[in-house]
Amino acid sequence: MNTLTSISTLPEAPAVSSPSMARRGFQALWRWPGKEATLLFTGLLLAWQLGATFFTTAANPLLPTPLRVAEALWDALPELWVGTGSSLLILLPGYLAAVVTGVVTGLLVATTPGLRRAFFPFARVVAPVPPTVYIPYTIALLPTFLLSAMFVVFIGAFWPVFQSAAAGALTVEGRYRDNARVLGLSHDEYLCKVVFPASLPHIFSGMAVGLAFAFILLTVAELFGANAGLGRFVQYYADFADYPRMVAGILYTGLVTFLSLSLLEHIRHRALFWLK
Amino acid sequence: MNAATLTLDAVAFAYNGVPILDDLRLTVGEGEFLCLLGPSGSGKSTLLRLLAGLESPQRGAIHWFGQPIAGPGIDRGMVFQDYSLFPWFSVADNIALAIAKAHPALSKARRRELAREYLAQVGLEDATDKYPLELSGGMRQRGAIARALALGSPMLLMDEPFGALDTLNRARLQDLLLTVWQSATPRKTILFVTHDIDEALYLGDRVAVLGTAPAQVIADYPVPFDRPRDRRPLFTSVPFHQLRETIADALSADTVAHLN
Repeated sequence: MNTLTSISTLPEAPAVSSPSMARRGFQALWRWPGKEATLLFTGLLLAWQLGATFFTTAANPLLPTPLRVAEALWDALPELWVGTGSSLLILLPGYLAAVVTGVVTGLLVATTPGLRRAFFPFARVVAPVPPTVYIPYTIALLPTFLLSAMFVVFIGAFWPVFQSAAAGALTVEGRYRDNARVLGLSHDEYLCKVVFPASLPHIFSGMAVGLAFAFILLTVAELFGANAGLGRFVQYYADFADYPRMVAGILYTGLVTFLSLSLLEHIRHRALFWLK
Repeated sequence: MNAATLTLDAVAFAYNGVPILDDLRLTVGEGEFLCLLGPSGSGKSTLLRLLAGLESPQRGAIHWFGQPIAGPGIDRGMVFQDYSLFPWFSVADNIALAIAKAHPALSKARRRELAREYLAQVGLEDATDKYPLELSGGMRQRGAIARALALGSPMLLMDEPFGALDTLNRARLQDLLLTVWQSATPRKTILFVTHDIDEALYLGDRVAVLGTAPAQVIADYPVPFDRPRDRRPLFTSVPFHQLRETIADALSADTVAHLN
């Protein structure tokens, strides 16, 4: 009897539980918050693989398969790593200088009527000039490529930060101004302790736009005269028709930009903890 | 009533050409708790903004201890309805900001220590390092009162400070305000704007009723009830109800007069 029951029950237990477990696993996957994005990425990767398999001939390997790109990325990692360092050496000083000067001048100009009347029309004319057009001139004007590239990054990131800081300062809520006035805050205190924090939400959106601009200008500037860096990496292997490396460079640059913007978003979240 | 410390003489104020206050006359004695009562839109808040120096009257004069009010000053503390604290500073830092203005010579450590004392006075000793966002409406208003006290001003201007609170919190903060006011010597002069007759009669030495805009003081009643006041017996007493009815009649008569 004992063996009989064990035989009759044993195979039944997994037979009942395994489909329900599979269903549960499937449901968990279906409820996973990132499922749409994962589906899209998988779909694109599949399309890439199919496209690369069907449309690329050995003579013209313009569209390497994902696997070949992954290999190229792995091989090129040391070079990309050095290139990242070289690029950040241009990007960070230019971008940070743009943030500091953009915030300070933006807040000052917006809160000083005379400066406002002088600079706002000026900014309206100058800010829309695409910063890439300055590149040839700055390369001619400044002694080293490093300096000219930094300057171009600076110009690209400056205007978004300036404009957002000025917009933030102009839209400081009346209640904060009232509070500052009844507390008898001086103009400097009002700027540092009220206008600056109140403008931070605006400033951070300007900083995000500025950072995206900085990456664009950095890579464009590197096409002109760099001997290292992310933009230079892509251009260099494109010139040699080494498309796996070139695509790897594009993906890697995208990743660096994404991580930088994520870091900024993280800082924004930390700095604006007092917001609802 | 003590000697008048605050006088408003024929004050007129218009906002974007719309008259808000017209020929307003009012005197307030030193240490007096005056409640300003009126229908919404009657210019009660505007009147407080004029006293705070945030706006200037187009006509008439406002004198405070014999001097015309020319702008904001820390000799007048203000409590707004729900936004007196800066959200990016902790409660203690908000109070310390006021202390830095009232006592510029104090060290940073001493300022924080004083901030703690003021916060303890309003029952916020456990919330010193919290941010306004983390506080309930009642706690924020406690913080706002602590800040006004920290400025050390002899006059407090309060613009419907408990208007957004639930009944229980409102009663607690009314009692807190009375305790703080009665325990200080010399007593602060308080101008308290409200549209709640019961609140005005519970708190005030005097109730001034503003009419519909352009507003004047249409009625002015001393509140004769002994202090300390106890809500339950007070709210059921006959004199309280008579005064309440008189004020309600004055308010509705004014509203009706403006409708016709």
